[in-house]
Amino acid sequence: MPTNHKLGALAAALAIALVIVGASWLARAGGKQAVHQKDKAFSATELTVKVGDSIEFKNDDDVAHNVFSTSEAQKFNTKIQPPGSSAEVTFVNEGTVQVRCAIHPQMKLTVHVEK
Amino acid sequence: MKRSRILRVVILVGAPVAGVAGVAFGAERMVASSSARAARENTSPSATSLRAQYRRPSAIPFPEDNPYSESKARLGQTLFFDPRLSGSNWISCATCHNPGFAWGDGLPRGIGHGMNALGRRTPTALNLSWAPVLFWDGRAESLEEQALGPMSAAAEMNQPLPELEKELDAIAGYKPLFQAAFGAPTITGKRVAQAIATYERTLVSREAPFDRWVNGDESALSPSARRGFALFNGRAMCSKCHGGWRFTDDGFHDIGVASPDRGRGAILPDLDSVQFAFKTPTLRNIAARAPYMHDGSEGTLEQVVELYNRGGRVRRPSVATEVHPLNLSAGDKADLIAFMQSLSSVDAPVDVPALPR
Repeated sequence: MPTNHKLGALAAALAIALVIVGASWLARAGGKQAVHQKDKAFSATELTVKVGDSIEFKNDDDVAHNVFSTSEAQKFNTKIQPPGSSAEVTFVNEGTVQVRCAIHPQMKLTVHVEK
Repeated sequence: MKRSRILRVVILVGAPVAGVAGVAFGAERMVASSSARAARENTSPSATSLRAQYRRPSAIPFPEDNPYSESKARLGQTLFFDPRLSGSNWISCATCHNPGFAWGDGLPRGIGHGMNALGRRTPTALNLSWAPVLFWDGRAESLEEQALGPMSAAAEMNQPLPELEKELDAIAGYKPLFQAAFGAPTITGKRVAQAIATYERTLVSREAPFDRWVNGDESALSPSARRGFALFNGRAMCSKCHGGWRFTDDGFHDIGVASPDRGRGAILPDLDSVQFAFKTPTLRNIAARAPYMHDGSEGTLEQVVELYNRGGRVRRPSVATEVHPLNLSAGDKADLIAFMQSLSSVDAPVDVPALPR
């Protein structure tokens, strides 16, 4: 039978392993970039992110926007974004995502999602 | 479709004038208004910077993959006026996009093959070189793509592309025109579209009284039109969508027209925000382009202003947040209309080309 001392060491090792795994997962998933919507344009036309990263779409205009994508790599729809609001999208699949504003078709952003 | 563009200069009357002096637009109105209202008007950008936002460009943009040439534009003009582009040999592009009606047809809704009643009003062909998407629902991303749509649509010109190529190929007089435009006499649907698109890009409304005012001619606008411009950019919020020198954001908005047509929503059915939404039309020469809206349901500019004043004829979840009751006075409405009338230009007469035989 294991002693209490051995059980304690085992629990500590397990806890350390969990912390390492968790930190590693957080490191992969933790990236976040901001894309501004101003003068009916995105602040970037092309971006590269890692799988698990997020983009925060901020509406800095005085009109509403609606960011969306119908790309196979990731379909999403932030729905109407009133002036001053933000919407966060996490990219979960590798691939290329064409991002548009439903209301203003000249607003175009290509997001490359890498492993 | 990604289309890089180059600038090629083609005759735009009324080039920008340097050193325009700023003038407090709408001053006459503010004198007669309440202090609260005057305060609201004063929150607009300065008069000078506001005018600059509406200054006409000095050149027409043409795409790199279909650059301008005089011979191509001439061929495009010939094709544009040729009814043999339709299945009946009776309908040309100009039948609906009639230069005499500011490049529309003056009807509530278009008429197609066999007098078929179409569902939407014919949009003007003016100032489209700057448009990122075409058609009321934005389903085409270039003029080249757009040009072939009505030709091959059974309800409109009813001319399948293979038949079009065959018919034009049998007209000997077209060979030298295609030779001059493309360096070879071969007639293809793609070349037809490229030539028509090139011609359409040259259809630019000329300088209007508003442009002369933007460039510093203070006498070009009446006091009423100046007040209308202030309202347009201020309390009436028209410029939220009708901004820029073409007076359009090329965007899609449900403005509360009582119509079952879902417009852009039929292209993007999963997006609530574009249900019943249509592309913002240019306001250039708007006074000459009645009736209005995608379905011609508003007969006069007075009725259009009343629609916005009410916050739309119908309320539904997709109506744009920018559309809500405005509480405009009779004077406000008259001022907005005076301003819109100042956007009319006297454009050069259009030559109808002799058609090849």
